[in-house]
Amino acid sequence: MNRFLPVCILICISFLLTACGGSSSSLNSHNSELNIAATEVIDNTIIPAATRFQQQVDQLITDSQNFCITANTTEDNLTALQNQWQQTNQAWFELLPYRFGPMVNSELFPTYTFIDSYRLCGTDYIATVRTKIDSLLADNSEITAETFSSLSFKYVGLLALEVSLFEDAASQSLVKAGIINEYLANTRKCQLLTGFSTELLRRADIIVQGWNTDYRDTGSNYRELLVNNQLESFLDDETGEAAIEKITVSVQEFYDYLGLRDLTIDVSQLSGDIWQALNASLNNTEELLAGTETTKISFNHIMKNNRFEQTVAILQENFQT
Amino acid sequence: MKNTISRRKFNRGLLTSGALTLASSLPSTCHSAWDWFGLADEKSEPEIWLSAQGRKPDEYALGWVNPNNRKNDLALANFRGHGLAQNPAKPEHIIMFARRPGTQGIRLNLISGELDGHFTSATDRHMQGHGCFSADGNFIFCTESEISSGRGKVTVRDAQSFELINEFDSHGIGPHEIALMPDGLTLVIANGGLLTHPDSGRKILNLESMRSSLTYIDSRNGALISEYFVAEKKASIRHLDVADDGTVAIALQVQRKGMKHNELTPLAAIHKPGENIQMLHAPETLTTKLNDYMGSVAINNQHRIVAFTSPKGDLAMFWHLDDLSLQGYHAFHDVCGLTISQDNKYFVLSNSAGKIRQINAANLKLEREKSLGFAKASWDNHMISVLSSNS
Repeated sequence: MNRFLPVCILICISFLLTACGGSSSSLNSHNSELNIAATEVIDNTIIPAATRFQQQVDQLITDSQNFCITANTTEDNLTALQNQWQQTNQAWFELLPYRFGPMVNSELFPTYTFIDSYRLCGTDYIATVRTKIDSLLADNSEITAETFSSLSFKYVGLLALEVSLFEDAASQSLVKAGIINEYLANTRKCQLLTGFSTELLRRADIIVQGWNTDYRDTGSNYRELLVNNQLESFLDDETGEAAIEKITVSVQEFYDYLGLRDLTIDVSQLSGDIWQALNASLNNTEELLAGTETTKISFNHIMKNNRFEQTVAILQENFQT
Repeated sequence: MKNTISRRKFNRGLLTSGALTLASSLPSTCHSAWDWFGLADEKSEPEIWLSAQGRKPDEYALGWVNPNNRKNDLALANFRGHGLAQNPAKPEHIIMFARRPGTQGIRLNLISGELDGHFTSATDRHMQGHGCFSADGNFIFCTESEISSGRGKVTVRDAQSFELINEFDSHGIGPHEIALMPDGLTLVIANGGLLTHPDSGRKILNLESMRSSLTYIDSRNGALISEYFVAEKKASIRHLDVADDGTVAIALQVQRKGMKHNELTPLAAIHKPGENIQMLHAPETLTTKLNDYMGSVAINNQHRIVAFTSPKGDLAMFWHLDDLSLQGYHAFHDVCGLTISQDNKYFVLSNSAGKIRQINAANLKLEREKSLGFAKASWDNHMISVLSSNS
C-alpha cells in the first residue's frame, strides 16, 4: 500500500468527524441523514463484514479437519489451507476498523485481542506463540477446548494459526514438506490446528451474535441498542455516543494505528499476506463512504449535499490510484 | 432565570472593567448560591460540586451543581479555567485557576453567588492550572512558570487581597498540581517536566530532555525537603491527591512522541512518606486503553481507594491504597472531573458532555439513579466537592 492511502483516509474521516462536531456545520451527530447513513453502514457494511469473517473461520475449520485426515495431509491441501487462512485474515482486516461494541465486549478481555493480539498495543507476540506451541506439542496432557479457551489473548488467534500453518515448529522453516512431515509425525499438531481454529470461531461467533442477537446478556442486539441510543440505559459502562460517532472515531483510530505501528514488518509476515489484508481494509473503507447497492444515503452523498463535492472526487480518485 | 441572566451579565461586566475589587461593596443583584439552590431549606449539610466548564471562549465559566436538587449554575469567566481550591477558613471562597498558559485566577463567593476577586500572574509568569490554600486560609499557593527561563515557580499570595507576597522554586519544570500535606506546612508539587512557552501555546519544547519530579517543599520558605522520580523519563507527573496519612497518589501522562519504544507505562502511582514511588499496575488491556493519559486523581480516605480518570481512555480506574491492587474500573465517555462526595460514599465523575455519575465507593458500582446531565454544560478536567456552612 502506498503511504498516501492512509493519509487520504484520514482526511476523509477527519471531515466526517468535523461534520459531526463542528458547530458551524449543518451536520451534527443528531442529524437524521447522518443517523440513517450510519444505520445503513451498520447493516450493509459492518455486520456483513463480521459475518464474512465468521464464515471464513468456519471454512478454515472445515479445511483444517479435512487436512488432518492422514490421507489428506498433502502439500496441495496445505496450500489450500494456507490460502484459506489468508482469506480469513483479509476478512478480519475488513472488520478490524470497527473496533467497538461486540468487537470489544469487555474492557478487561476485549474480544478483538483474542483474534488479533497485535492490535492491542502493537506488540509482536510471535515468539510467545512459538514457545506456547512448542510446549503444547511436547506436553502429554489431553488437548481439549478448554486448553484454548483458557489461554491469554497473546497465545491464540490468527497469529497462532499462521504459525501453525506456515512454518514447522522444529526449525521455523517455511518449506511445506517440513510442515507436512511435522503434522504427520505428531498428531498433537493437528489437535492444535483445529483447536486454535475452533477457538477463533468462538470469538467470531461472539462478535456476530453481539451485532445480531444478544449483546452482553442484555437480551438486545448491539445494532438496536446503538441505533436507538439505548446503550447507556442498558449497560452502566457503555459510553453512549451516537452510532455515527462510534463508527467514525473507530475508523479514525484504525488509520491512526496504521500510522503508529509497523504492520508491514510485524504482521502476517509468515504468510506474506499483509498487503492484501491492508487492501481489504481500504476497500471496506471505500464501501463505508460510498455505500453499497442497497444504500440510500451514503457518507459520500451527505458530503456532496453539503458542498464537499470536490473532497469526494479527490477521495474517489485516490481510492482508484 | 432572570436572576441568572442578570448575574452573568454582572460578572462579565466586572471582568471586563476590572472592577472586581469593588464587587463586594456593590449591592447584591441576585440570590446567594445557597438561596439559589434552595440550600437554606435543606436539613442535610449543603454540598456543591464545582468545575471549570465551557467549550469555547464565550462559554468559559466556573460552574457548579447542587447534587441534591440537581440544579446547576455558572459564573462566566473570560478565560479557560482548570483547577479549583476552597479556602478552609472562608469556605465560601472558591478560587479557579487558569489553564496553562493563562495568567488569571478568579474567586467565587458562594454566599453572594458572585465573582468577587481576581488576580493575574506577574510579568514574565504564566499559570499552570492549579493552586491550594495554606492550612489557615491566609495564603494561596499557585503553580506558575517563569516564561523567560521556563523554571517552575510556586507563588504565594494573600488570600484576601491577592497581593503577591513571595515566590519559591518548584524545583522542576512545568509544575502542575500542588497540595498541602497533612502536616499543614509541607507542599507537594507535581513537576510535569514539560517546558512550554506562551508564544508556542501548549507545544512541548523539551521532549528529549524532559524530567518530571514529585517535590516536597517547605511552605514557609520554599526549601526543598525531598524529590522523587519515576523510572520512565517520558512519564510526566501532572496530578496528585493526598491521603490523610500522607500517602500521595499521582497521575501521569506519557509523552509517547519522545519515546523510542512502544512499551506500556503505568499511569498511576503512589508515594508513601519515606518510600520510593510505587507504580499501580493494571492488565495490559486496560493500560493500553488509557492512551498514555491519566487526567485526574482523588482519594477516598474512608474506603482507602484511589480513583484515577482518563478522558483519552474513557475510563475511571480504582486501586486500593494499601495493597495497591486494582479494585475496578468504569467506562464513561471523556471522563476527567473527579471528586469525592462529602459523605465519602461516592466517587463523583464528570465529563465534557455535561454528565455526572456517582460510583459507590464501597462496591465501585454505578448508582444509576444518581446520574445527572446538564446538556449545556461541558465540565472541564477537574471537579471539587465543597461543604460549607450557610449559617
